[in-house]
Amino acid sequence: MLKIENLHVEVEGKPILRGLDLELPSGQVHAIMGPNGSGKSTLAHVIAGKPGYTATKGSISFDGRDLLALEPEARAGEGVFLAFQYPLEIPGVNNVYMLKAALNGIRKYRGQPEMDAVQFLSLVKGKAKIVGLKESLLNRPVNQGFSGGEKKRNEVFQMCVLEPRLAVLDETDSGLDIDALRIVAEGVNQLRDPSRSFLVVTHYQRLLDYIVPDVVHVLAQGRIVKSGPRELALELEQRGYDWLLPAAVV
Amino acid sequence: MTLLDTLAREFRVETGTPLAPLRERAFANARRRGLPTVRDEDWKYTDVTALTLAASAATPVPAAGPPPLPLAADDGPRLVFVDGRYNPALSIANTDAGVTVRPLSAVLAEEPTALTTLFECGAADDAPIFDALNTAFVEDGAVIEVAADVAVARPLTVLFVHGGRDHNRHAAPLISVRVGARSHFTLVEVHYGRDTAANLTNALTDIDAAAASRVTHYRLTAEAARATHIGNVRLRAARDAALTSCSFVFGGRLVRIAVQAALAEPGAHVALNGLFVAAAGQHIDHQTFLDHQAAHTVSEELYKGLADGDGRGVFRGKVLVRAGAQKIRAQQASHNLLLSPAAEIDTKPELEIYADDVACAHGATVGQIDEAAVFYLQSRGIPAAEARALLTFGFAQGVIETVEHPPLRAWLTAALAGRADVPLPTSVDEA
Repeated sequence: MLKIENLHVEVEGKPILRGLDLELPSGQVHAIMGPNGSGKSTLAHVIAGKPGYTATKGSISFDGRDLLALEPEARAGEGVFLAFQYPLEIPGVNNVYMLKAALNGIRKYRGQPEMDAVQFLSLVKGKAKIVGLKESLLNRPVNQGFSGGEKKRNEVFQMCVLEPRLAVLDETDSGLDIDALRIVAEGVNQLRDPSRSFLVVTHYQRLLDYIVPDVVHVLAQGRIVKSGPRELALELEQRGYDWLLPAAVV
Repeated sequence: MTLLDTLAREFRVETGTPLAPLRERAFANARRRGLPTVRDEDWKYTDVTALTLAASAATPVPAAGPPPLPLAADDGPRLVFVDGRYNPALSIANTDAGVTVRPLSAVLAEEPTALTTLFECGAADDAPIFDALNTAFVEDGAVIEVAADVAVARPLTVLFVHGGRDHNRHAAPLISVRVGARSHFTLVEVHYGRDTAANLTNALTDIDAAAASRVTHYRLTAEAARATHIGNVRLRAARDAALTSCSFVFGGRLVRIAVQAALAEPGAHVALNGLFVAAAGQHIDHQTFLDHQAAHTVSEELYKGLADGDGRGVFRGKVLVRAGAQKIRAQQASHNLLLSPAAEIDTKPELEIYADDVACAHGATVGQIDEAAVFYLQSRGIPAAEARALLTFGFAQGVIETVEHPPLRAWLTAALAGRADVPLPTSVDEA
């Protein structure tokens, strides 16, 4: 489904990813772990198409399509979703209104008709229940005045409504207490499906107790330095990352 | 020919009428002082020295005028003026009990002395020049009186349509509103210009809110793209009165709105809100002056401005707290969004405080659309252009949501979205 080959990415002229290879098959959950500054968030952002993140070499293909050639909204149309580490506040635009614009934007991209208001409302209410998002937050401006946990929950809620085929979760666990973490993970697990893949970027293996990955990758100095089964995350927690880093760093 | 020379040719008074000396004095004052220049603090960013009536006809006709009027669904009472003159056929006179509405032209003819106090303001030596010119030239408008102890349910609309026949006309309408003690009243004042109108409007609105009254004033300037509009609003709030005045400006080549509010007695509460959109070629200036004359008064101010193309916006918000006006609260916010690199908005808060136990706060910002927010929306599947429109709309929403008049709120939303599919009221369309 997602195939990244020899990806080099610069941000403000500074190389961050340096020859990253990754293959994420359909229906799998892969975790990306790694020390601070290793390029985890950069990877998440470049998949979603953030301006200023320039791929200088390599490719990202999604079901055979060249993602790097697409605008961010077209990537969403193709089925890519990024759950932000720091979700933005959008004053004056309420959550439901934004989601409706998003869902219809995606449907339009796919040549589908817009969803009618009644259908849409029952969809969002159902999904809000699943992720435990208070209904009162639905009609509030996007993320404005939300607590840290509510913002993250809102990200997962949006993901549930938009039903992407590839969901990239950028440190969705940061700032969540254990109950919130469980609810967020439940939202993700409900979406697990043979046709859907997840790339879970995380700093701590705690999240992986709830969202059990098929593969754990270690990202260090801009490339994947080790991949392994779920147990690798536990090992990383005990031993840290140092033993995986190349002795000499250029 | 300068504007004042042109106006001097137009100037006529019926000698022997009781208001004639006041008109003459007002015009003499205006001529003696001349039009303000940018050296005048009040006019620092808005140059009116080159204003003329004659030359405007040569200006090319722009493609788009303002969207149709906000009153389609509203069959409430209204006074309609076409090219400055009261039009009884288009007006709906079914005012609610307790409200007396007369066209100013009728008052001038039948009971001119009822206007003496207002005319004396304009004829005063220190009257602002456009107030003086309004007094010198006013022919029509509305005189509205609300008795004490009435909660008037339906808003009254006063609508000025320009460009019906005479496209380069000068009009100086005056609206006088007196709301009795403990009464509730809403006025919707609309200045609407048709596509080709290049009129000069110099309007004055004077609102007096008696003790414990609740008065709301919505003022919409949707002039045509070649029009010049000077709007002066004078407000007075008595003891425990709550007075809200909102200015929305969407059209006009040069628009300057000056709102002056006196919080005259303890307990008075005045809220001034505003929203303007300065598109390419437009210059929109708001000047507000909140005068805390008494203790225990509260003022709140929220102005939002948008400028696109080479559009130019100005906001100057002055708050004066007079000596002895203790325990007052004044809050002012001016937030502005530039939608293009050539756009400019100047915002200037001014606080002058002569009392020591007060709570005054102000904040002013001029910014651009947050690109990180654009990316966030794009990543959800919203195309970039739509994401920007959504963020622009969200920015203005804070002011629009304060409007408790559904047709006006719908119009503002549509105008902001750049849509023109809000239908015209047929009766006005036939004007």
